[in-house]
Amino acid sequence: MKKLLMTCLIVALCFSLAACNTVEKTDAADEVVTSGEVGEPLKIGYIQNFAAHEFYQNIIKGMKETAAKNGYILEIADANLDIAKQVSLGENMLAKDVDVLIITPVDAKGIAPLIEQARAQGVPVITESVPTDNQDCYVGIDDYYGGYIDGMAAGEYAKANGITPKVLIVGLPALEVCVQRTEGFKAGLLEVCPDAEIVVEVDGSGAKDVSVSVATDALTANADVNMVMGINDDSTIGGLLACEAAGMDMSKVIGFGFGVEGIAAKSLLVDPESSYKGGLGMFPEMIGRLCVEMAAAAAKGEDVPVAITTPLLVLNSDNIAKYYTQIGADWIINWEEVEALGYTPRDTIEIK
Amino acid sequence: MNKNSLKKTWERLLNIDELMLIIALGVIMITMTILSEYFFTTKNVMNVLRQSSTTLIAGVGMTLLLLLGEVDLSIGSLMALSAVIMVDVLNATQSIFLGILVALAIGVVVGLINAFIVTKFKINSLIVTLGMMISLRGIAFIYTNAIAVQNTVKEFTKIGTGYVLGIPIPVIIAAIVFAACFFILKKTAFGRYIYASGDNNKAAIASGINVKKIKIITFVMCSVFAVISGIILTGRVNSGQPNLATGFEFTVVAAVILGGTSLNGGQGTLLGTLAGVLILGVLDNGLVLNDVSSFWQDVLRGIVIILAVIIDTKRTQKREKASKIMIESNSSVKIK
Repeated sequence: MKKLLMTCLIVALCFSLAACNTVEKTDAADEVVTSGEVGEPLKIGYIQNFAAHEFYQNIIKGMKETAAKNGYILEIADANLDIAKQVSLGENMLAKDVDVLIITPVDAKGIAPLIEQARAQGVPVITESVPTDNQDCYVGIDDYYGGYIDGMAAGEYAKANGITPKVLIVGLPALEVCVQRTEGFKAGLLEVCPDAEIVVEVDGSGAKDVSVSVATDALTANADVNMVMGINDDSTIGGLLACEAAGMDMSKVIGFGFGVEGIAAKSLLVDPESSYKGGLGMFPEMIGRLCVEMAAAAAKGEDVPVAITTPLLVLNSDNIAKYYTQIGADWIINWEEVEALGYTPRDTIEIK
Repeated sequence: MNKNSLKKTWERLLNIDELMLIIALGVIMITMTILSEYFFTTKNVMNVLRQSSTTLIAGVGMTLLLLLGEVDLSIGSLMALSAVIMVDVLNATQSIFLGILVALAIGVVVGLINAFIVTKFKINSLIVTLGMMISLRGIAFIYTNAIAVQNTVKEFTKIGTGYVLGIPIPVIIAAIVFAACFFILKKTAFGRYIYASGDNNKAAIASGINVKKIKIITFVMCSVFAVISGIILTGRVNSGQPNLATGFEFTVVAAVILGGTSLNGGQGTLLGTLAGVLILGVLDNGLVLNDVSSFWQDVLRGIVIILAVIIDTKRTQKREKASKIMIESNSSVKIK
């Protein structure tokens, strides 16, 4: 028994050493992208907050492509929703002399000391999704506006099809950005369809299984729901699955989501039998590209705006092929078309 | 019925371990019925039963393990890993049978690994399965690259959403699992060995019970039941989600403990687990029906769990005190 235990320990140790070797190279970074050019390429560190989500996976995809195209070194590390870990990862990157940091903060207040430390060392900081009081540039979407145009599109679709919307919102009230999305949606929808009614709002925690469960409960008391809005792909699809499970006539139910960040929502948009009729496209790959471009400009000492708002557009079965190309099960961004949507530089992080 | 038999019936009722839980469940149900006209309808009752079925199936396995004084925190992650692989197999073969078979096989393997580490190296199962929980979740994310696998076999969703004779399929599966394990615990030597091993491990070994074997079988059962819950959930969400059932293990453990099963092993019943699962299920459903904010839902859920456990512990202490007095008085009679 002891021999077996020792063998297992030795094998585990060997694996750990092998793993440490890899980590030494990148120091807690998950991946390194280089163009292979000679010289001293720009070194960008990106500290992710939760890489295990399709939205962030696509941001990373955009960053990698942009870094590789320009010959930058990109190091990526994931804090996995742990602010203490995020600060440690940032300190490690600073110790490795990165030229610029991109951070998706787990918490705006908690990340402040790391940003101060970085800027004191002359390392510019770009924040994504969560603005703080002290970055060189903030890159992100306007959640309220996104919700607003999504709501307007939902209202116009309902109007064109003679539907008076009775809406189930699958939200995430613990996150301010998600509250803004739903508030924007309500405003946009009611502007186009003043008769629309927000019948019930539930907390789907942003996860599909939870969304199905809470939406099923809510539908018991609100069988007249005919529109589902979710704060991300999983919430919207979860809400629609709950309607289907409740035996509702799905030809009379419409879904308008926020995000279209993943494969599932894009595939549903082009499925004529699906109730998913439209969704606010956030183009996470473009967010990744703009983060890297702003980071490179800041590191080179060029002027960067205080904040930029990345492009948003309501996607549906008619226009999605313009912005994404389906290749097998995957969807590839059409850079030129999305770039043409442009972005908005701002002189304040506050969005009015 | 005379006064004496009424008294006896009342005393027998008071001695039912789950009485307090059944009363609590009744009170919550009456309250919800008063607060929402939709609560006590056939549709909603079926809905609550369907939603509770996954917790019950996993809860049955967890009860068996807790009765042995062990726990398995890896069930949520196991559900996610088996789900994503199962959907891949489903898509590749278009065979529901093969997909489910592969998922169950993963459950057996993970259960065996957990049992092997716990029994061979005598490590606390809380630590072992905590490590397994983290690792399996990681593997599920690596396997899928954090992207959900969409199911293409439409018939498969019936496992989570379908009905047979008006009863949701998950409820039927849960009833079968519950009845089988109820029989095993009450009527077989294996069931008695579980109680004996959990109550006094050393005494069980001394009396010739193969405790190690009992633990291995129970760990495997717990994992397999978790996989069955995962299969049903996957049917409901129509995709293999790497983040499926995140935190599910804590809901299950909470329901089982709420049902009166002791964390130290040897004490608890499946009827208690059923009551615990239903209390949490009814509470979740009723609060959503009444538009209670999700933050308040968490607060109330936590309070109910703490209150139920306090009441149950008090009752157990009272009963233990009474039996101690009885033993003492019996022994003093013998000495005389």
